[in-house]
Amino acid sequence: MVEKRDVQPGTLALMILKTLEVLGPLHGYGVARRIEETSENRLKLNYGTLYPALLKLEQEGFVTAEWGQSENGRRAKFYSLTPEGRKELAREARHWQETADLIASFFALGPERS
Amino acid sequence: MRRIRRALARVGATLGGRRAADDELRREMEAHLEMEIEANLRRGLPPDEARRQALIAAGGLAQAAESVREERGLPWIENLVADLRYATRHFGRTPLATLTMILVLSLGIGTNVVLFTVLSSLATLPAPGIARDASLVRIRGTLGVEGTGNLQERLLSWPEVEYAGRTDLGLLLGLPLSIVVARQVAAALRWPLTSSPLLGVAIGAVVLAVGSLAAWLPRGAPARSIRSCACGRSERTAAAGSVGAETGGVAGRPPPSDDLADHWQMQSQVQVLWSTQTRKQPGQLHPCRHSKIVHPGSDGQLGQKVVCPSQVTWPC
Repeated sequence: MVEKRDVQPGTLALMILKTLEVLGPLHGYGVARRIEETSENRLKLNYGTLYPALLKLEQEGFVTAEWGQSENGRRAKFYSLTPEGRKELAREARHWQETADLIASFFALGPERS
Repeated sequence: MRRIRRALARVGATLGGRRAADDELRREMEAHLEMEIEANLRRGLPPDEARRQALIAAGGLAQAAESVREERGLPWIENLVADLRYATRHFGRTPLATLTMILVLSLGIGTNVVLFTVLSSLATLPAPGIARDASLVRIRGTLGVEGTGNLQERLLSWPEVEYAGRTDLGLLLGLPLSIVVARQVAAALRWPLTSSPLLGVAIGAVVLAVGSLAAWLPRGAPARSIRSCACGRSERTAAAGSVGAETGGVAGRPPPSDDLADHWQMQSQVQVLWSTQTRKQPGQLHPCRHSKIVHPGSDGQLGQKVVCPSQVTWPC
């Protein structure tokens, strides 16, 4: 059994933005399910984590929300990416990539021979 | 930019009220839960178990709603408003107690305001009879004690007391002194309350206030008009300040012996700050010297003889 981890703060917003970019407008359940699937169930996402993050993104203007019909006829609140959100995603993705590269180059160091 | 947008959104959410937003959040979470349950049913779980699993995954709906609320508006303002509402309701339910509270508080505040206003005007304004004009000078003195003995053992002459009462010195000396007095009084009356130092200070402050009032009120105009600094000059020379007044009563006990009295011989340098109209530079030093404390006087009181060097010129 894989140990489920809580989402690290700051990373969830990026995951949500990326999920919305890939899948288009999506309700909270869809976002949570998708993130859990993408992480191969290593992450668990309860409401208390997900909804404050969605709200924050909405307040920052990176996503918009409106009520609509889900695929099985249920009314749900759908979140979609705004142009601002797209830009933020690109910016943040670049930032994370740089950080990851930086750390990777440190881990790649072998024992020094002189 | 995002911060500004977010702050605006939060203010908007606070102004918009939380009921509608809470309602929407509840519906959103319910939809989420239903979808989760449906998915669990599709996986072949029995209905009860499907619901249980969905609730476990949700991780506490009330808690989640609270987390969202904290992010949504400005919780401290909302809490404040809620507290105010609660207080208002409560006051409305107990009008008599509320009225009592208001009366007590306003009486307390009013008394304080009045007392401090009176004290402030008495402590900062010249006494009646002395015009606040250019002829008024301000005398600042440094009282140096020659010989042995500490400050507490030294008796203050009445002019000094008068002088100190009108300056910062009075406040500096007065508060600790009156605290001491208050503590003595309280101890004599066996008040148990004086174990608290704060209370001691409070009592001291009250004693100081009352004492200051008592010291100021009975004094009429003539007593306040100080004659010259024993230089034989006219009234104009020292309109305010009393260092160097020829005689006066003595506060405290009389000195036990001549020797000690000699120790108390003191020099006081009086700095006279002339007003602009006299066209003198401020900060002139006037070496007015108390030559000796003469005691006891004919009326049983101590007096001071003040000698001024003749070359000192007063702008009379």
